[in-house]
Amino acid sequence: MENEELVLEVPAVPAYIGTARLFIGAVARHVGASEEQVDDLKVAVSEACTAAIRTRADAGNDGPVRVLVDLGDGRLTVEVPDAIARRPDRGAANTDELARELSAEIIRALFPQAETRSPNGIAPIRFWLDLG
Amino acid sequence: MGGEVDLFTAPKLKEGLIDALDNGTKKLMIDLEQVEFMDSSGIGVLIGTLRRVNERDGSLALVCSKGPVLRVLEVTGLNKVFDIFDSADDIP
Repeated sequence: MENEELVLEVPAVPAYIGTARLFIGAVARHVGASEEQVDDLKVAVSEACTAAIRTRADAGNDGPVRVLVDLGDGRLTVEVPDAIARRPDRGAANTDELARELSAEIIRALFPQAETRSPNGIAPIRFWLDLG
Repeated sequence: MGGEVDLFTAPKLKEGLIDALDNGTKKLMIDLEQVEFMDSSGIGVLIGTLRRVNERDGSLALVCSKGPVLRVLEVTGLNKVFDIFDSADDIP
């Protein structure tokens, strides 16, 4: 498979999370992912976009949410920049942080190698699917 | 209910469930069979509803036999927290 990079950019509002799911679903099917893998990617992308929207809202940043997909090295790699803001060693203190932690837990449960923690500051969420 | 539950649509679900409880419903059943997608935003609503039901000494049953919603409940371990049934007929 040739290396290919795809980017979706949507406004940072909840109504566009479904567009991100449609995007990753189409890409995943295009590269031959199973329907179960497509479902898992859609959940993980939805969680990452939700996290990115929350991070922007907290920071007063109205910039768009981007979903970057890299098709190379036999993988479908997804990165959502600026999606994590919370430090990993701090307990979830309120409902919003619990929701963030649940998002990260779901991504890690579906993609155990996912990068969903930030040692400091704002960071991307990244995960990948190995293509057979 | 049907469709997709995410950060955009979860508030409507939450509102409907709170209305049902405020109207005196104590035994609540949520049929998720036609729900095509649910992420942590929807899961959060279900957890909040379970808490409210428990505060009222009521009960909450979910109907969900397959598909991506059941998978999310399973990967989060919440299938052990909620009472989940394959069909409404199975609810005692």
